[in-house]
Amino acid sequence: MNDDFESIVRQISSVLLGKEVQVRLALTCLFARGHLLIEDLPGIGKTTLAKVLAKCLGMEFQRIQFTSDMLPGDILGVSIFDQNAAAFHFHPGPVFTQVLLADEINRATPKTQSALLEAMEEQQVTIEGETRALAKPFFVVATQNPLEHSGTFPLPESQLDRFLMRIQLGYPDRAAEKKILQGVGAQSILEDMNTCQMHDSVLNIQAKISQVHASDTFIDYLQDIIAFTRTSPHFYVGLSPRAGLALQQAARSWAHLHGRDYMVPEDLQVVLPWVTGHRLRSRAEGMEIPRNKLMELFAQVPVPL
Amino acid sequence: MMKMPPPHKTLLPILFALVVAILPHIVRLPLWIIFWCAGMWGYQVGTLKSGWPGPGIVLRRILTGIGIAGLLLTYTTRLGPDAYLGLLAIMAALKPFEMLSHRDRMITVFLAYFIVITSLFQSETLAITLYMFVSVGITTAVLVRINDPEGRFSNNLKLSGVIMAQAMPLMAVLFLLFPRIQGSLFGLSLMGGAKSGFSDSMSPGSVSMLVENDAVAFRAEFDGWIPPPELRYWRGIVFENFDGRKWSMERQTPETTGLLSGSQAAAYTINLEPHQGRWLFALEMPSQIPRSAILFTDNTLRSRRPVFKTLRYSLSSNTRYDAGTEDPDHLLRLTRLPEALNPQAIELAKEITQTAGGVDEKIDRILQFFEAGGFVYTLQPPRLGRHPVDDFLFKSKKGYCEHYASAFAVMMRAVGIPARIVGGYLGGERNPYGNFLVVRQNDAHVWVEVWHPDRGWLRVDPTAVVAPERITGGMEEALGQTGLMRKYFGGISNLMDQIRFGWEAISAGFSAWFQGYSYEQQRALLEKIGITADNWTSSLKALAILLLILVVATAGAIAFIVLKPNSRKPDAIRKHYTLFSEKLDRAGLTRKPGMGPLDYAAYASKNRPDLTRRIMEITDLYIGLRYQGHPSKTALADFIKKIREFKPVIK
Repeated sequence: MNDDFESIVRQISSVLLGKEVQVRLALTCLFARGHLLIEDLPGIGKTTLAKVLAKCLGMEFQRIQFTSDMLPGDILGVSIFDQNAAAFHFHPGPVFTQVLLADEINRATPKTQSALLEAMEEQQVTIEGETRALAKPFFVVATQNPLEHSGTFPLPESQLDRFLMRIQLGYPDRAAEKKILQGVGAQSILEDMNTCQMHDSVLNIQAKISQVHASDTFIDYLQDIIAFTRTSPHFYVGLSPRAGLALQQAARSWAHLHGRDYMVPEDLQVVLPWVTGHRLRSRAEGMEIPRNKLMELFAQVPVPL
Repeated sequence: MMKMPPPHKTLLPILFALVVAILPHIVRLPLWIIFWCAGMWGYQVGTLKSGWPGPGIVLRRILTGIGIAGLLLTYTTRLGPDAYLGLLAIMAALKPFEMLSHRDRMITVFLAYFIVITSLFQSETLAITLYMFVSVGITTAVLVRINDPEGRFSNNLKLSGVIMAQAMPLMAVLFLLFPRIQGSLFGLSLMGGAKSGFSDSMSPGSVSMLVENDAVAFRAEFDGWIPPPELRYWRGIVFENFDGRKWSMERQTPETTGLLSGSQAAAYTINLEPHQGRWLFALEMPSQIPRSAILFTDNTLRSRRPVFKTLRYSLSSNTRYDAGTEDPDHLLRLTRLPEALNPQAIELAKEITQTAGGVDEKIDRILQFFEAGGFVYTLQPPRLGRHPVDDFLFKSKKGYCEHYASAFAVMMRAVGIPARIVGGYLGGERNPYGNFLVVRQNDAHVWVEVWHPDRGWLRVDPTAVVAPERITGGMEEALGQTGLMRKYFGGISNLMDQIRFGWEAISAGFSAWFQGYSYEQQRALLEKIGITADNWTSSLKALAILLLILVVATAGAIAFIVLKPNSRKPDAIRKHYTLFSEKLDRAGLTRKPGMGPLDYAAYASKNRPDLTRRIMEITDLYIGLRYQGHPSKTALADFIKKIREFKPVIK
């Protein structure tokens, strides 16, 4: 077990009560250099999760509330003419940070959405012909409200693909909710929270994750999974090679955070529904496949011995 | 760009391959080329071990020039296979000096292959063939080595063996189907000089050269009865002309139906070693002859083509035979002698037979003269002068079959009896491991045939009178050598004989089945599989078709193996992990196909806490083998052992 990781998980879970799995997944996503999409109702703790992650890992935090009248400049920044200096002066937007919470990303117009998504992909932005590098590490947590559809621009599949994982937080269980109501995991704690003790920087951990060994047997299993999505009648389209790389990267991160420098099939199985959930659709209904059903389907793929 | 391997990893193996390749040629190469090779290779070892300076480009060119000049001086215009071998040897000696690139090393190894191949110009005996296999194996191992200089040489040898084994089916197909060319390859006379056999004429000393040669002349496999030693006269060639010194052949005409009738037949098959000539050997007198042979009026057989390759032919002979007929004019010619030569011999013959009545008595008297005349059988006779027969009969009195036959024939002619000399082999060693005789070059023999007015041609062997052991015991006995051998090396000699006979038997089989596989046998084989091969081009077509089938089949098999989807070979890890899950399955802990090893271990341990430790050990080893980068060397053995020992009690 990776002790640093376990203590971070404990610390975050003391603020975000009853959501340990999601915390682990969010950290896995961050260390895998991926971006996270949280799809849930308001008030569940999405913002808290993003904030506490940034705080705990000692990263800068910015938040953008997406609205329909938002322009790309509102995210990336604008150059404004400074009369005193008689020159244009660049005012960086909220994207120049380490952890960016993009709240209700589906409310913005596709033009604005794509400005952010391009930044996520390229790790840099081009404003008025000038290319500016983003911070490292750069981690976007975007949220979507799955229920409200009027006046929203749902992300197309090609854009969804930019997010390594999509998770749901869900309601807390009764015991956790009781603690929330008792004020145990309150905002006040978040304010007082210190940066977690870590022996390695986030960038170093990210570098180490790329070194996690993928054995032939593991790659066989991963390929079997990918081939299954392409040949099984349950899926509308199979996983792309990029999705395959994403799966491997997520499994690497999970394995490393759980103290292994190699991957076992279980590492893949854990991240599987979260990495593929927003990338696969059922052939029959054309709808997304519920997580339980997805796990059942993948359980049909035998693990190579 | 290929990394240059350090020279010590490749130079010594390459030199080794060259030495192995050239070893069987040592007797054929002139002495200076052997010293040349030894010197160059020795110096190359010196450059490696002691850092001697290598020759520069100018010196290398000068050496090449010297080598070629030496070659031209040695062989002058005789640019036969020996000269090519010499050129190969000279170049193979120089080439290692400039092994700068990978390509140079490859070329040097190919030189070794060429040198190995030249063995085929020399002889195709079993021993040489086996040696060539060894030599090709070593050369291939060196070829593997220069492409993998870091590996161990034993592994190179192993791979070379595998490659050669894989080449075997192709070799078999090519052996069976590659067109057997009628005649010699490229029209070359493959032998440098006459190694064996007889020539068109017989002059003093020609047979004694053969006697020093114990190479196999031919092997005769008998169907049934083998004639006793005194009847083993293998007729090859007849000399009818005598110029006073030298006996030579008459131009004979082929005979169509002139086979002599007789009795006491022996049927046999001869595997004749190549001798470049056309004569074929047969027991006296042939009664049935092979299709490939032509019978001449003097009862000798000739092949239609010179014998450049081992020739296998079947025939039968009557060891007792009836008189033929002969043209009186021809008989008259066989009583002629050159004038003014050997006058004493002619005089002596007339003197001895003065009182004799018939032809029989005349023959007997002259034979008696040889028996009582104090003649000595020896292979080192003194030189004879202008009247060789006179010198032999009255001065030296020492000689071997050639001298006796010649003198006897001259004396016969002197008294008016037609006589001629027959050349061939006498004897043959019977091999206890097979019903065959081995006839060697040192069994070469000449004898005399005289014309009896009533009984036709009679075989008279004057040597038998002087040295009867020559007839019954072969050359060694006649010279009194075997007696000594037996006395001093009795036991060993017996054992050696056993080994020799065994080896002979194997060689005979090799000769019959591999070397004797000729155009005729190939045609018979092709006819069996339904291809009529009238000439060697149609067997070339058959070969092309079969090779095409072979190539397509091989490509198909490879494609099947390579392209077969998801072909996962059941390996030891998989096999044993399956065994492990089967054992747990019997204990009621079934693994679902989608379950990873950790989940399965957790599930099994949860239900059977008593097994936890062992399940975890096995699972750790399994994950180590399957998913961790570098499993330890003992991990697999450990894993298999632990699974074998794993016996969950079924509750």
